[in-house]
Amino acid sequence: MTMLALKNVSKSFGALTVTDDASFEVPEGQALGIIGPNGAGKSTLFNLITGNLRSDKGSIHFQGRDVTKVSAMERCLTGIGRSFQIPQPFEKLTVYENLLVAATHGRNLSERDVRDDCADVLERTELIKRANTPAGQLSLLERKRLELSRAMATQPKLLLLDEIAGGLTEGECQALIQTIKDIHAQGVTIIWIEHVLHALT
Amino acid sequence: MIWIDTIIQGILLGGLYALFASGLSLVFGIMRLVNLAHGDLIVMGAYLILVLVTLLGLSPFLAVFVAVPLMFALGWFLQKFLLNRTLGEDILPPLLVTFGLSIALQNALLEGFSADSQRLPTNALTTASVDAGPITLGVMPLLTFASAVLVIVGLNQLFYRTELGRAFRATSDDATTASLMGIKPANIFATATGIALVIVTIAALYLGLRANFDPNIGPARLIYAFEAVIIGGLGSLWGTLLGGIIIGVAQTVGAAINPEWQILAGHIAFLVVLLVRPRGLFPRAND
Ligand SMILES: Nc1ncnc2c1ncn2[C@@H]1O[C@H](COP(=O)(O)OP(=O)(O)O)[C@@H](O)[C@H]1O
Ligand SMILES: [Mg+2]
Repeated sequence: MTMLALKNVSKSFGALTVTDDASFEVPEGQALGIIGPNGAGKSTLFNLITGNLRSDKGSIHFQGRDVTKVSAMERCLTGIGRSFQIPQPFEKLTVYENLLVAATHGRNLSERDVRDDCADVLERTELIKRANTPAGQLSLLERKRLELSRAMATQPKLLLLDEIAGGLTEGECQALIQTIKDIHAQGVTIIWIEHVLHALT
Repeated sequence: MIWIDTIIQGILLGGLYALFASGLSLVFGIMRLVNLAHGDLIVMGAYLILVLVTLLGLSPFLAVFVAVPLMFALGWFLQKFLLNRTLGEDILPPLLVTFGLSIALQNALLEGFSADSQRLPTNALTTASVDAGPITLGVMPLLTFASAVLVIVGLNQLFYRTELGRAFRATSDDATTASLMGIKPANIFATATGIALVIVTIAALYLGLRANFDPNIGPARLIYAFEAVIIGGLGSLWGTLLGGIIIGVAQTVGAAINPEWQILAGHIAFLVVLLVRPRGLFPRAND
């Protein structure tokens, strides 16, 4: 089955055309890597897929459904999760609370129904020891892991990773990649963008 | 002994100021909105209770239960359809709009109820007092203080123990990211102002039971509330209670020295704290 299909998607900011007639398909279960220099329009592409930005032209289908005009929130509910290039945790909330917010609102469930799932996610992303730490006190790697965890807490079918390895050392990068491979092995379709190659190989 | 009595009266008075201030603190903490009509909303709450007492023949304590949902709804709609539109980068629009609201409320109350001062009907309980060793404590001041503590405990529970509280904190942290997570900041803000007006109603009960009120006393209550919030440190509810206590004690001590110094002493205490700790006693770690 096709997880995501873009047809002739274009987006301009004023005179600057950032996404020009993009068409591609991502089959279910795939892990797709996209590489491009800074300013190439990678984050913009993700914003179009998640609905944070509206495309000027073209259509976006998610699991066969036309979501071109669907709001970002509803796209999240249907299973599109993302991490942000610049981690944006709620600094004063604990790591666990950050996940609870994403899970309760991103899946439209009550806290009781998501508690265990959130703990599982933290276990998998190796943040469980930091569960009760305010997010503002995390290291960069931990913040990246929290970005990943928060996206996972919404139980996405499609996970978009925006330069999640950026700024990490080689060793930190390898550890994170292993975590992402595990997530992919569980059947989550992944699109991952970076502006350096080594993370994706 | 007279001094201990004076100080205890001041502490209990601080409970009233903390009640005035908690709603202000809540709204500021969540949406950085300074509501200049806060004092007038308290006065309006007192008139609402008075109307319910007169119309339905209820005791003020029962009338509050009718007034609370009405005031919550008022706060919700006020925020959703008026104040939310003023929020943004610029801090001036909310100040102008709430200042206008303050004037409009005062005039509406003046029109509806005249400038005559009113009081909520008291009964044996509200005028009673208890002997605690050498000093005598009024039941009313004790109830006021206990209510303030309960309100603050309740708000802290709400903030740190519930889903709604987590959404409050997440939105206060970063409204944009919160909305990406499916939180609707406009509704969160509306709920927060609704809750603030519930506290306003409780404050109004004690305002109206303890002393006379008229349509023009709102701005002075706003100032006491502000001073309590700022002394405590913006965003800290227990700090707000302490701020209220400091103003209360300063006022009763000032009044004991010279009755004319009561109000002035409160303001001086505020200025002294501001000089020594410009960010209040319990400032938030960041921002
Ligand atoms: N909201 C926006 N308004 C105007 N220009 C934007 C906006 N978002 C991105 N751009 C511009 O679009 C181009 C691509 O940005 P982006 O998608 O963030 O690139 P990348 O993620 O590949 O580094 C850049 O030149 C950037 O300045
Ligand atoms: Mg980018």
